[in-house]
Amino acid sequence: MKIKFNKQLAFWTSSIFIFLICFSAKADVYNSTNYKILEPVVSSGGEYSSSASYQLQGSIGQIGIGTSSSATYDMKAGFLYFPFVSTPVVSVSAGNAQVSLSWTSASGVLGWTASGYNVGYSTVSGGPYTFGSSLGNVLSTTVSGLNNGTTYYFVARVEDALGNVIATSSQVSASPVAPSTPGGGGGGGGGGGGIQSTTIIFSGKAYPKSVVTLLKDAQVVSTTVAGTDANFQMTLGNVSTGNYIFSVYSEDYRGIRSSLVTFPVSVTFGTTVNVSGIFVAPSISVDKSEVKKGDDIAIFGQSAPNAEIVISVHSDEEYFSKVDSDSNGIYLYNFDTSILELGEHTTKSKAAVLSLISGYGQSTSFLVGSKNVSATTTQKCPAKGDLNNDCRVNLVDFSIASYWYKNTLNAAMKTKEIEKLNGDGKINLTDFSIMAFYWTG
Amino acid sequence: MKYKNSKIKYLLFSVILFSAQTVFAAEFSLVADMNEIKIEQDFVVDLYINTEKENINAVEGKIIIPNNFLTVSEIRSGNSVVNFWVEKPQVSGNEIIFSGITPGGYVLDEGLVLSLVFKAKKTGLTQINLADFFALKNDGNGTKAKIKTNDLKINIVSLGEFSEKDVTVFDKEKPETFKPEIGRDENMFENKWFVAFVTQDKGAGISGYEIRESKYKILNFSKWQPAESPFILNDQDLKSYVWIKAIDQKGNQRTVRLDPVNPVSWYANLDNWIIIILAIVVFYALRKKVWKKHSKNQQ
Repeated sequence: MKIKFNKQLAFWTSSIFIFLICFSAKADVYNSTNYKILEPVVSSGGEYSSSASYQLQGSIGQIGIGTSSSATYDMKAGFLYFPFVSTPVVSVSAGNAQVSLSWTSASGVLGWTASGYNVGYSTVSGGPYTFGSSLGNVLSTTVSGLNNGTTYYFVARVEDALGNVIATSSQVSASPVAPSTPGGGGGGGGGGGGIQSTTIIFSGKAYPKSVVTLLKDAQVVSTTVAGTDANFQMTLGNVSTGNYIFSVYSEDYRGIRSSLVTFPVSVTFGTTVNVSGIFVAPSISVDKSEVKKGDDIAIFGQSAPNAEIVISVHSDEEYFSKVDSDSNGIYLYNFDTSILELGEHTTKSKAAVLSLISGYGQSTSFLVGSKNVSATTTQKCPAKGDLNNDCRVNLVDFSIASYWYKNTLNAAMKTKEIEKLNGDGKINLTDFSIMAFYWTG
Repeated sequence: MKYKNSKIKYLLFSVILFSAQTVFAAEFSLVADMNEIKIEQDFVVDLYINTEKENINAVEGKIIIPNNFLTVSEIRSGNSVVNFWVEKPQVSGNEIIFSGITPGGYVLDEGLVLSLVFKAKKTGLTQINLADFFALKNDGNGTKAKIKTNDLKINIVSLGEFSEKDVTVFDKEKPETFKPEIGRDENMFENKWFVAFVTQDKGAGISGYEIRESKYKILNFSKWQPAESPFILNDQDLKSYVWIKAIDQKGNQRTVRLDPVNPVSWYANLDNWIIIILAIVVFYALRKKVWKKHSKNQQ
């Protein structure tokens, strides 16, 4: 009897434990010295939290008569905690009465998960778009039954597990074309069936007046300068049929490189592929390498003009703040470190402007300690992977690492490996992965 | 009975928990282009990665071939998601070992890693296995992603009529454009200058590279020689042009040229003297012609 009871107890205990493990990843707990709310429903984009079983009420204002008002500041109340889903980069390629679309996977954070996608199209720029049923968790589709010669405008929607739309890509257009008929009769001149060139047009946002670099299969193929609105466009011609990994990065006003935005593109012969909605993540720096606990640390960088920047400060607990970038895309946030524990912390940022939402950019670290130490120089060179110290991570560094791959390192290379790679005293795939992350081409 | 029930419940919960954990594992799968293979028949097997929403930038693995059943006739890596091979896929005994990276990473549900062309040798049920596979996250630390591998079962049936499937790749396109880089490092090649290069061919794949160096573009009598990256440059003063030719499996070629880092002065460049001499010859020829015409008119 006792054994039976123990088994039952063990079963239910473990069941509850397993249940908690399965679901605690999704539950968000917000703690305060004054109150505690479990599993808050956080919504953005004009929606409100709702539940049949509870109601959350709050008020902000002075206890006395009158209401706070200011034209120069805004106050954010509630959960300072900004869930988001990055918008996909969409590629379209026109065919005969059809258009093929592919898009990058949208990444959601803080409770939002991209669980499915849908594609809408319209013959009018800006919509309204016609959507079919959800496509499920796929990264490509073909819209057929279209009229050749008509320009169609497409958007890709990101859906959560319940089918709610949680992000929408920027619009991209394509015009289906009938296959060219060979030759044709008369006339002098050169042989028919001339080779059609395959072209890819890339467009998106970087930083105002910044140099934007395009990499094809990790090798630099083009650079351009973004406009004052941070928009850029690049065209790559004579591309062969096949699958490519393209990447884009930019440099901010101080010459600091962004992280790579990478997107696979499949190219078919004789078509024009439009890749739209590339949004380079913000650059980020801090004014102190060590900050005295309780003092402010300035977190700053560049993104698109008038973008909403979400700054995350990551330690045991993750803290979020929001600030807008100015007309030059520059943002600055003074973060009060009194809430941080002593020790090393990292910070990163992402941006949202119009319907575009970037992913998080590279992170930078700082120490919370007992004194303030200015960040000496802004780090323009990649933090890791640059084995020959030329401020680039490219084929030369790859060659140096390949030379030592699975071989015993000499003393000088050991030092370099500790400084520039993962510091385990050998060159293996992990070191190459670090290089791939910091790659500049 | 009750004990049995709770055992089932335990199992059920374990399955739920297990499946919940394995949902986000990057998955490597082998896919054959036909279900049933006949002896002497060629067939293609593709290795795909489904990154399951993880951003992956490095992969490594070992494909184990049942040598008694299958012969590897070709390895294709032309259209791969891997940009740079750390270990180029090669047959070694009954294994194909490879590792490679993709700068910036990728999130794909069907990323082609490589393709293998096999010829079936004898009948029977056999299996191509995947072993020691790794996928590393594009997070700056080379963190290992959870992975799952799917082996491939193959049924080889007896000799008989089979419709010959053409597994050859139609490829008339040159290898991709590429940009070689010159560099050196005190820890390798005695700090000598080397040139690093790599490209892809989206059709049949790269067969090899050739290189030649010359101080002169026009008076270039240097010969092409086979090369592998990194290649130690003959001209350590970096006064030479360097031509690198990428050749694909079908013989299509793309040549790129690197201009000298320290070009020779104009008077030491024989190309310039050739141009000057040619210009003088043309000038005198024209002058003579004009002079003749002029004197003819005067007569």
